Amino acid sequence: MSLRIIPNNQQESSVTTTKFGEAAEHAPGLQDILRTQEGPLNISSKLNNRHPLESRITTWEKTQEETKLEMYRRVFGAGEPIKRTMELNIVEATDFKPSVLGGSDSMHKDILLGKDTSVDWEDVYPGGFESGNNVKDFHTEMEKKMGI
Amino acid sequence: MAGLNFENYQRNSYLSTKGFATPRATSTGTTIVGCKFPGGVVIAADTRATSGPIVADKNCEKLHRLAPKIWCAGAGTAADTEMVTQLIASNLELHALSQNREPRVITALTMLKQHLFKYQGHLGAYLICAGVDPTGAHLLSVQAHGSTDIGKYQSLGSGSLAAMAVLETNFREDLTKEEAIKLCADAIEAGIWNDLGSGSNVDVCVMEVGKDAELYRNYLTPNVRSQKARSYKFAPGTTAILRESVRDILDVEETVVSFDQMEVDTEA
Repeated sequence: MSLRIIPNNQQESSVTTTKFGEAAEHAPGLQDILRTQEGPLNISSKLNNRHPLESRITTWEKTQEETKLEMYRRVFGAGEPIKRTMELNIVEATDFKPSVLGGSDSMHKDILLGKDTSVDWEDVYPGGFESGNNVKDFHTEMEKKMGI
Repeated sequence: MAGLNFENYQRNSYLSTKGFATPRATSTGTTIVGCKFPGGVVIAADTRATSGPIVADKNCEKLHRLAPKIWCAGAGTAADTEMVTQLIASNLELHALSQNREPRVITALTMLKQHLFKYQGHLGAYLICAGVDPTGAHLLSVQAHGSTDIGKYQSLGSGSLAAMAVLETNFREDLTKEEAIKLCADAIEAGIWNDLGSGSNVDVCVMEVGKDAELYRNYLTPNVRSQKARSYKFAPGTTAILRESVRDILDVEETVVSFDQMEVDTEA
């Protein structure tokens, strides 16, 4: 296990057709372009010619978290990261509020991650329903959650 | 996508190949300086913001407040310095509230450098960060890629060479507060006269240990526009009226409607 400060600069060597979107029930080999309302997906545009910062920023927090948990593992033993990850998973599994109503409140997650006294661009530009982005409608979300 | 958005990058690169380049961001060109004196620190900045060869703002504010006693002068892309400074100011306040201590300049600096490093220099913010905190007076600077410097006198921006020349000549360890203010103002003036990216007025901020910070907005205004030699107002009647025609677009009909008695439903 490595201690990374900077995310790994990984370019995928292979992708499947359903990597960049939810698979549609009526056509399991493709994404659901009717629900996303963005039209047929151009996979090469999702892979090539992206801004150099984009992958760095999207994976930054995850990398920092992993490094932190790895350090805890080395100092306090395997139990620490397992317990912390378990607590985060419990919160993610039990918190639910539809995206159309704003998504679930991030308070519990913030406290567990130690981010309750900081703001970042994700708080300034939340990018959810209020920003005009197309989010999953309530029925789709419930179906996914229930596993229907 | 939440946070800063990269969605338009491919569209913009395509458009620039077709000849529609992205507009030039407003840069602050700038001369900013900072100078320590025994018992405090002074920072100063010019007030010109440029957009390519055009002056976008003749009197912009380049001295930003991170905390009541920690101020920051910003050079580089105007939006980046403004937004990054405000974000870190919010974070600093939250941190100070949760720790129940006065915020420290090194905290602000560390938050800034970690943030700017994460964005690899794409956030063009070059800042001179100074202030007083329970550990004393500090003068620090951050570059856009995340490197930091400590010093007794610093200058950044396109006019930094002109300003640094003045600082190197006149800086002493035992400056008084007034001498330090004069030194910084002189250094900014050197940038104003000798650098095209800097101009207009000088803003100064003094932070002394044990006192409130003092911001002197437009401390010096060496570029006041002179009064025009003549009055260019036209007397009424200068332009002769050749023809006048009035056309009624609407037919206005006035009738009087009396409201002496209101019809009220009095049934219980």
